[in-house]
Amino acid sequence: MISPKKQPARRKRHSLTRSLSPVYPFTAIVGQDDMKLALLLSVLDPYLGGVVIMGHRGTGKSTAVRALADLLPARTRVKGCLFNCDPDRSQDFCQDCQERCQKRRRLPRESFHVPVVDLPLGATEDRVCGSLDIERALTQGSKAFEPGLLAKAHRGFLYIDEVNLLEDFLVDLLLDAAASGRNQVEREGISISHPARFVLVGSGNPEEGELRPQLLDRFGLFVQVATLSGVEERVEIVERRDRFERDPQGFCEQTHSLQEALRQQLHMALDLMPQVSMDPRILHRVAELCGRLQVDGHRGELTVSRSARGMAAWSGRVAVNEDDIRRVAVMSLRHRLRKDPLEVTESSARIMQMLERIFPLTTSQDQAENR
Amino acid sequence: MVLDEFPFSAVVGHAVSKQALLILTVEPRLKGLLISSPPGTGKSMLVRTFSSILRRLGQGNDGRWTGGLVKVPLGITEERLIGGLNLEQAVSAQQFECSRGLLAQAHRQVLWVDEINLMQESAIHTIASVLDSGLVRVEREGMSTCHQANFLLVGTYDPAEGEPSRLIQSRVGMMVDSSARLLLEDRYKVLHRILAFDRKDEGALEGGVDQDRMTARKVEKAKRLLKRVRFPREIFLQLITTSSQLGLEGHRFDSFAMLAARSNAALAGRTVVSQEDVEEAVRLVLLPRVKLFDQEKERGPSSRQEQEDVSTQEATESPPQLEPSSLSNKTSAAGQSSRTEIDMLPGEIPDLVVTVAEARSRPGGPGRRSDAFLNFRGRKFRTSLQSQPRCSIALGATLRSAIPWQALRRGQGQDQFSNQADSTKGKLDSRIIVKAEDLRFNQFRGKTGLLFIFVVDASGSMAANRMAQAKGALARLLQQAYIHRDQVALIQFRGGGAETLLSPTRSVERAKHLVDGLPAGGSTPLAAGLLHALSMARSTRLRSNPEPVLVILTDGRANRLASPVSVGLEARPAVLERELRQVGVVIQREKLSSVVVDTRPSFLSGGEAPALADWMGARYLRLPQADNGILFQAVTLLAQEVRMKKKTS
Repeated sequence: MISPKKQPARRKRHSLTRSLSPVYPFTAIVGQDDMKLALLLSVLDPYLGGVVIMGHRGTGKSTAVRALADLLPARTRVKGCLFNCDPDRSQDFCQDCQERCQKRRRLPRESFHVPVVDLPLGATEDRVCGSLDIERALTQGSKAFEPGLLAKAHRGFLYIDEVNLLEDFLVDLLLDAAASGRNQVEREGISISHPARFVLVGSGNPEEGELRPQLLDRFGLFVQVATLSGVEERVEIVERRDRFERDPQGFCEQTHSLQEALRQQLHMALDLMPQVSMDPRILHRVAELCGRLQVDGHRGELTVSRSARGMAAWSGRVAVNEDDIRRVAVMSLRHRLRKDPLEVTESSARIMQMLERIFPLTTSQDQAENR
Repeated sequence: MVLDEFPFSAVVGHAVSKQALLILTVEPRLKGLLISSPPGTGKSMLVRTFSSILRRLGQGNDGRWTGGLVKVPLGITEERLIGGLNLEQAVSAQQFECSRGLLAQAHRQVLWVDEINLMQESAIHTIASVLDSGLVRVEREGMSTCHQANFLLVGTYDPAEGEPSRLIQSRVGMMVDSSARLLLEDRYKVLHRILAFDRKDEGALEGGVDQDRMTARKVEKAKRLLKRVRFPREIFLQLITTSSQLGLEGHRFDSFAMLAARSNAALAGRTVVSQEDVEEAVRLVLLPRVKLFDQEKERGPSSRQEQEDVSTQEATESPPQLEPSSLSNKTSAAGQSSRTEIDMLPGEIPDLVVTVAEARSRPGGPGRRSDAFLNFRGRKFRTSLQSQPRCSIALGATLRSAIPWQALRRGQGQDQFSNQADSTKGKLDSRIIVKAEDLRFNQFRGKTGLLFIFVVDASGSMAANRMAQAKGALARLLQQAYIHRDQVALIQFRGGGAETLLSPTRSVERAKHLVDGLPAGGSTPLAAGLLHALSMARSTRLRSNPEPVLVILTDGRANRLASPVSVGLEARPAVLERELRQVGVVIQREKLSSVVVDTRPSFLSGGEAPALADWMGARYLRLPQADNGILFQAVTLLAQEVRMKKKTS
C-alpha cells in the first residue's frame, strides 16, 4: 500500500533556515510600496494568482519575499498531515486524509506556520513533485511517497528567485499544478495525487531573459521595481541594512511594534475579506477598462476585481471604491497587454491613460456614494 | 624557518588587487572580488598566496574564516557544486546522506573561480544565489537539505575573453582591473623572486615572509577595529550622492561601498572614515560597474568625431538618396546570373539557396569542442531510460526503480547482476539487486539556443535603412526567443571600426535601450565588422552555448581595412578584397552558420556581397528593400536548419 508517512525526525527539513539569524523585517524595507502592497494582497486573496516582481538587481526583491513569511498568520491543518490538508475542505483532501476521514468523523487538528517554500533553480524533477523514498523503501521495505516541494507549499507560498531562468520542465510542472490545484505523480511504481494549491511568487531581472508567456499569465500581479534615486532614501537603506547585519536581534526588537501593527492590520483585513462587496457599476467599468486596453481573456478583469477587494479590506472598508481600482489596476494588468518589444510607451503608461478616462479622479460624488 | 609558500607580499604588481583582497578579508560582508588581468600576470599566484595570509590569521578572530582555498573547475557539474546523494555511502553502507557540494565545502573559506567569465551560466546562477543567501539549498535526487555556505568569492579572468556575467558582477563587492603593464625593473623583480623561491632563498625575497606576518597582524588589528569605525555623516552623504549620480542599478553597491570604505579605514588603523577611504571605495566598488552597466546607453550620443572622414570616403559610396522602388527588384532578378541568389518580393517566403560552401563543409572542424561533452555539461534536468553514449548513471533514480522489486528478486536468489560494492560478507541481506532494466541515465541540457549576431553596415547613406531592418528582425526574434532560448546581439561597423551595440541578450528590456538615430555614415570597414563578430562568436562558443549565427547586412562594398598594421596602406580594391577573403575563410573554417544580406540597390552593379558569401561559406540573400518581415523569415529558416544540424551532429 502506498501511504505517505511521517518523515523520520532524523532528517530535519529546512530547519537550518529557521534557526539561523532572523530575517530582515518587512516593515524595515524602505520604499517599494507597490511590491509590498502586491505581496500583502496575495496574502489576502490566495486565489489572486500570486505576484511576480521584476526589476533591478539589489532592490530588495528577495528580501521582501523572505520577510513576508514572518507576517503570515497561523492556520490549521489535519494533524500529522504531510500535505497541510485543510480540515474544513474535505473535497481537497490527500489520499491519506480521505482514508482517515472515512474511519472517523472528525480529524484531529493542529496549527501550523504558513510555509514559504523556496524552489531553487537547480532542483530536480523528483524533488519538485515528490517521489519514492528510497531510504525507507530499503530500510523498512515499505513503498512510501516522499512529498516534494509542491506538497510542502500547499496552502502556502512557493517562491522562485530568478524565475525567468527556471528550466522549462519545472515551469511545466508548476503550470500543471497551478491550473488544477493538485499534483499528480505517476512514477517508479507510485501513483498518487495530492492537493497543491500555492501562491506563486517569483522575482527576477528582466535583463537575464524573458518569462515564458504562459507562466507570466498565471501570475496575478506584476510589479516592477526600480532603484530609488533619492539620496535620503538610499542612505536610509544602507544604514538600516548595516544595523541589521551588525545586530539582527536588536534590530528586530526595535521594529517589533511596527511588525506587530502590520500583523494586526493583516489579520483584520483577512477577517474582513469575505464581506467585501463590489458595486456592479464599478465592475462594469472594470470590464470596460480591460476591453479598451484589449486584454486577452478574462483573467485581467478578474484580477483587478480580486485585488481591488483585497485593497478595500486592507483599508478597512467593506465596499470597493474607485481609489482601490486606481491603485491596483497597473499591477494587475501591465503584463497582460499585447507586447511590442520596441514599443516606446510603457504598458503602465497606457493603463494610466485609460484609467484616467474611465475612472477619472474628479468624480468625487461617485466616490461619496460608494462609501 | 622553512620557506614552503611564496609570500603574498613578494608578489610583484597587483597593488590594487592586494589592497582589495585585504579589504575583503577585514570585511567578509563584501562577499567577493573579481580581478581581471591578462594571462600569465600572476593571478593564480596572487590568489594562492592570499589564502596563506588568511591561514596566518589563525583562529584569533572568532575562528570564523579559515584559510582554505577551494577552487572551482570550469566544467563543474551542478551535482558537484550543490551536492546530492552521496554515492559511495548509498552503495556501500546503504546510508542515504547528502554529500556536500563544493559550495558547502567552501564555507568559511575562499572560493576561487578562475576564468569566471567562461563559466557556464547555470553554475554562475547557482554561485550567485548562494553568495547572496549564504545557504546552499539542495533539492535533488531525493535529498532535501540546506547547508551553510559563507565564503569569499575570488574570481579571476582574462578580459580579452569577455566579461563575466552581469549577475555575478552585481553580487560581489569589488572589481579590480589589474592589467597594468609592468615596468622593466618589475619584470626583473618577478623573475628574481620566483627563482629565489625555487632555491628556497628567503633572503632574496626581501623580507617577504616577515612582511606577510606584519600584513596578517595588520588585518587582525583592522578586524578588531572595524566595529568601532565611525562614518561621518557628511562623508557618508557624499558617498551616496556620488553613487546615485553614477546611476547604478540597485542598492547593493551603496552598501558595498560603505563597507569597503570602512574596512579601508580600519586597515589604515583609523577609526573615522576619511575622504580617501571613500575614494578608494568608489574606485573599487562603484566605478568598475559604471562602464559595464551603461555600455549600451552611452554609445549613442558619444563617438561623433568620426563624422569628418565621411567626406573623404564618401566619394566611393553610392549616391546619397535612393528611392526604393518596387519595380527595380523585379527587373534586376532577370538580369542576375543563375547563381545562388534570388530577389525577394515582399511577402514571399525566402527559399535560401545552398552555396558552394555547403558541399565543402567537413565534419569535425575546429570550434565544436563543446559537442563532445554535451552529455556531461549543462544542467542535469531529468533522468531517462535511454542510455546515450558516454552518459552517466543517475543513482537515485536507478535505486528507486530497483527497490520495488527487491523482495521478488531476493526470492529468486542472487544473480550476476547483483551489485558487488559490499565486500563485507555479513551484509549479504542488505544488498540491493540492480538489474539492467533498472538503470536510469542523467539527461543533461546544455542551452540549445542560438545566438543571432547581427552585423550591420552603418556606413554610407543606406545605413539607417539597414539598421531599421536589423532592429525589426531582431525585435521579432526576441519576441519568440523564449521558445528556443535564443539570444540576439548587434554589432555595427562604420568609420574607424566595429562596436557592439547590444551584447548577447535574451532580454527585450535591454534591446529597448538601443538608441535610435545612431550616428551613421563614414567609411566601410567591413572586415573589421566581421572580425568583431567572429570574436564574439568564439567567446560564446568557449562557454559552450549558445550556437552563434551571423546575420550580415551590407552592400559588400568595403573601403577600409581592418588591420591596424595596414592603416597607412592605401585601401586599394585588391588589398581590401584579399583581406575580406582571409576573414571569410577563417569564418568558414570556424563552421559558423551565416547569411549575407545584400542591401545593394538593384540598379548598381557589382558582385561584392555574393563573393563575400562565397568566401564565408554563407547563405546569400538579396534584399534591396527594407522589409524586416522577409529578413526575419530568412533568419528563422536558417535557424531551423542550424538546429537540425545540431541535433543530428
